[in-house]
Amino acid sequence: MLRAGDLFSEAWLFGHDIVEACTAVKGAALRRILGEPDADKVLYFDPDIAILGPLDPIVAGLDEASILLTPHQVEPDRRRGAIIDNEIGSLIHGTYNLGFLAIRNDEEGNRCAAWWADRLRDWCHDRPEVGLFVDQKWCNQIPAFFDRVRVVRDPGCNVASWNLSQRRIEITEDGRILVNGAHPLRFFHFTKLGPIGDTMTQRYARDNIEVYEIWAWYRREVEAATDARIPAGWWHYATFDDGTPITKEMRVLYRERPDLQKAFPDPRSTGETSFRDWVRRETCLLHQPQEDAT
Amino acid sequence: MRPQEPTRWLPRPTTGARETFAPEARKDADLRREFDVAFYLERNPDAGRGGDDALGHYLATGWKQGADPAPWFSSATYLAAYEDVRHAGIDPFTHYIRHGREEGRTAGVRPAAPASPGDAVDGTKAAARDADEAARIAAEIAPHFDTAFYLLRNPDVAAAGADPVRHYVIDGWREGRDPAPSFSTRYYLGTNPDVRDRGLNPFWHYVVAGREEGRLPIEPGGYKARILKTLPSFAQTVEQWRAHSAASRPIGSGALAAKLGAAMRTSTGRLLVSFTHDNYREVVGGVQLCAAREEAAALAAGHCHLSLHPAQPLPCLAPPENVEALAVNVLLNGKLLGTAPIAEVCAAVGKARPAGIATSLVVHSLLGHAPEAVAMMAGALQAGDAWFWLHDNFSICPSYGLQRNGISYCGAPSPSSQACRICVYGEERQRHLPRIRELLDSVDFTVIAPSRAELDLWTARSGLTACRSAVLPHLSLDWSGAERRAESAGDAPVRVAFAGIASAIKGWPVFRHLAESCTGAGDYVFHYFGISETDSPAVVATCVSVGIEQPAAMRDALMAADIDLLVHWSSCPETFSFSAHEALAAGAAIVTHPAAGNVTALVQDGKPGAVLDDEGALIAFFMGGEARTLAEANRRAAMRGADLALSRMTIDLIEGERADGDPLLHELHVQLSREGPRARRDAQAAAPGLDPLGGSHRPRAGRLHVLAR
Repeated sequence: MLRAGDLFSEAWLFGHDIVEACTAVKGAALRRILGEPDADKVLYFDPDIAILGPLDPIVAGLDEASILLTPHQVEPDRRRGAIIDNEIGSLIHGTYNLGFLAIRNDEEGNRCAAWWADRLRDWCHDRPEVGLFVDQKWCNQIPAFFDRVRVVRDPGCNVASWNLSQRRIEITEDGRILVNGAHPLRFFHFTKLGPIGDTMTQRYARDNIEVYEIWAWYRREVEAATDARIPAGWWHYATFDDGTPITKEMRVLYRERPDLQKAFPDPRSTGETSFRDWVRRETCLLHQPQEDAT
Repeated sequence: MRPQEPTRWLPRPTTGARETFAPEARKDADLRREFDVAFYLERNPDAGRGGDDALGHYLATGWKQGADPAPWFSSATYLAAYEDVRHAGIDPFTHYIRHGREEGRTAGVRPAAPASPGDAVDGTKAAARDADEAARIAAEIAPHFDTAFYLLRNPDVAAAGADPVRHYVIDGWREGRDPAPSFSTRYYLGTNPDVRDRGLNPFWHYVVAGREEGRLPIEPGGYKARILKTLPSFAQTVEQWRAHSAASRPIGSGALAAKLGAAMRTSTGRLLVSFTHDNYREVVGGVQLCAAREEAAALAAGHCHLSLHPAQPLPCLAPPENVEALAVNVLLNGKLLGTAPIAEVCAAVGKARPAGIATSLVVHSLLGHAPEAVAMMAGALQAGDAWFWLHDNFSICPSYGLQRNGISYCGAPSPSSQACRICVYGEERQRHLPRIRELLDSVDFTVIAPSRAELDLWTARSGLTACRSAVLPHLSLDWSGAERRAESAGDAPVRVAFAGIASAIKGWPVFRHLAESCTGAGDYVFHYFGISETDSPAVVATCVSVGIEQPAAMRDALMAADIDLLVHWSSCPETFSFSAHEALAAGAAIVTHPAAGNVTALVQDGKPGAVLDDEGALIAFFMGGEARTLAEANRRAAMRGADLALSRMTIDLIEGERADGDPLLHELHVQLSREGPRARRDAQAAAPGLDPLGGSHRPRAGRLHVLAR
């Protein structure tokens, strides 16, 4: 098992919010795993994905290709609302959903992994105004930069609220879960567990009850696996070492200032000559209401 | 990962978000003062009997289910608007009372009237502008507004004589009332924060814009989605059942043996030991009635009847550990003796049973029993014959109605299927099936199905085999005393009935939706007959209880109301269906769907009725007038008033083995032994010309005869 501290320094982690950090680790971890002698094929899945069907075609797909990607949508939408939510959403956040990635441990796979890890080290930021969206938007470049890339358009893969407008789930009497009548469900992406996820799922699943059955199963699984001792939304890197929240503004300030990084190599620590003390003296960031304490 | 927020959210406030709200919140005086007990209890009748109960219910579970504490506060809207409150997992009303009101949070809160005299003048002008706007909004929504529905659902508005549309525009939408069955004010505001934030009438927005944009008017998925939202895990369900015990006073094995011995000395027949899932003498239901009839028939025939049901009711098999100590309630010849561990009951049976007495073992249900305990009793009884009833499909899955996640017929796929994986019963089924299989392998049961349809389903889907199987319907219809229906007036409305328990699995939500969709059409009158409390003003409810003293009560009620059609939309395949037979006996036709088991088979075998593909086809059948056509044809053709000739359950089969030559009996169906198709081929090879589906290769068993006409 790899930990964040094995891949990035405390200083690097301080400069990234939870989404940025949790997505950036994929590139560094991928490179580390590809260095293992028995890692012929590497499949990555987000923790909010459940594998519900056989992945043989995916694994076999890496015999013919070095890189497999699943797009957010594989069919155009027709209604205006869906085009806005889904297709424009993909234009903003990336064509391919990086809840899934498959890489073969060959020359092209390694070249891609190396490039991606570099970008994620320096540019895994949530900055839609300049076209950056953490790890995911970068992957729009993959078909342009690399050979042996295959876009997996199997609708049984990476089913989520952003493509339910074009995918119907049915469960047969012999117990198979099928997407659009013919495609076995392979993996489902339970994005945004909670009211937002519910709203977006309902908006496009509508009366497709089987979608809600799958979500109800996931909810039960999460509840069974949840340790009540851990507070909701808790993150080790969310706070200074005295428990006070680190704001996004502080993170952005720190990561854009090499001089601050040099002066405060351990920015989460508190005390007289700490980064936080500097922020209090030199900025107004600690005198404003805390908007996004992540 | 990518965020996909529907639209902008209200700004996150700075205080109060991370407090925990302990149960002591109910002691908060402000909270108690603002909480509207009467309003809450009217909408949540299971919330208790008084103020503390109601507030406690809201704080513990009500807010999670979207219930509102007062007409001026929407729990769902408040939570949808404030992410910090949602993430803190606290109830919205307490947050609003303690912090939100002070912080100026207004989502889901009905605005207050003008506060000062100075405001009143401006208020008057504003009121005039508002009145114009209200009239304009009312005019635009009126063509889509269901006034009959609004008045039925809001008796206070009806009582006040208020115009429903105007009421909705001025007050109703702010109070979360709905303008039509297909539109939920609360849901629309909760999922469209842009509408909510601009203070727009949600139904008006839907009519003029939202509909075109594809916005959802109501939470999709209907009652099935609602069930799924709060579906507990199977472990939680078992825990809920374990909170209620059915244990009686303990009875020692000595006393038990003495009573059993005394009973057997006075009986002239055999000893019959029966396993049921509850005390059928006290619980109203179809299976219970069957068990009660069997007990009565056994006693009438001079047999000694010992019935066992679990002291701890469970929605599954009892655990396999420590089976000897499993407590059962003991009924002897109809009298409840008390509770004893199964091992002691087995010992008492072994001790009290006179040598040479004939014995029978009957399993009506394994719910709450351990199959290992049944095998133990079979050993103690040295049963001459053993019978395993298929009143439901519990032998196939702990979901005895074969309802995946409690909502949809699953078809009983393989336990390793994807469907079983995502089903709330799937994990328990993995443990359940091997134990049932072991019981059927170790005891020579005859499996009895109350219909051919059920036996066919069990044979095809269970993966289980039994030594023998038979079909014995619970009743047959005797038309000898029946008569033609009286002429109905040509324009008499079509009378449509739902009979039985008004539950989701029995199709009540579908029937209710059908009734509410057809309200105002004038052609149909919808009736409910049964013992459930029903909640639809579009359905005329009549209490009917069928018991051993009044077995024809349902038939009589259907005839008295001149019912034309019985809608049977059970989600699970019916193994028999008393209500379908009662409807036929009353001269009604049956409207059902393709997966209703024996109900479907009855219509497909030629009984009057129609089989419709799905709920959409059902609604169309009525709205398009085909239901009237079927009803009118049935009025002309059908006889009514058939007698219900009830079987004597297992007694008929036990006695049937000796009743050769009885002209009333004829062979219905017998299957071969556990090797199934191979043994049939072997039997055919050994005796060419023998009906491969007749007879048994077990030398001691003759043909099984069933009572059928």
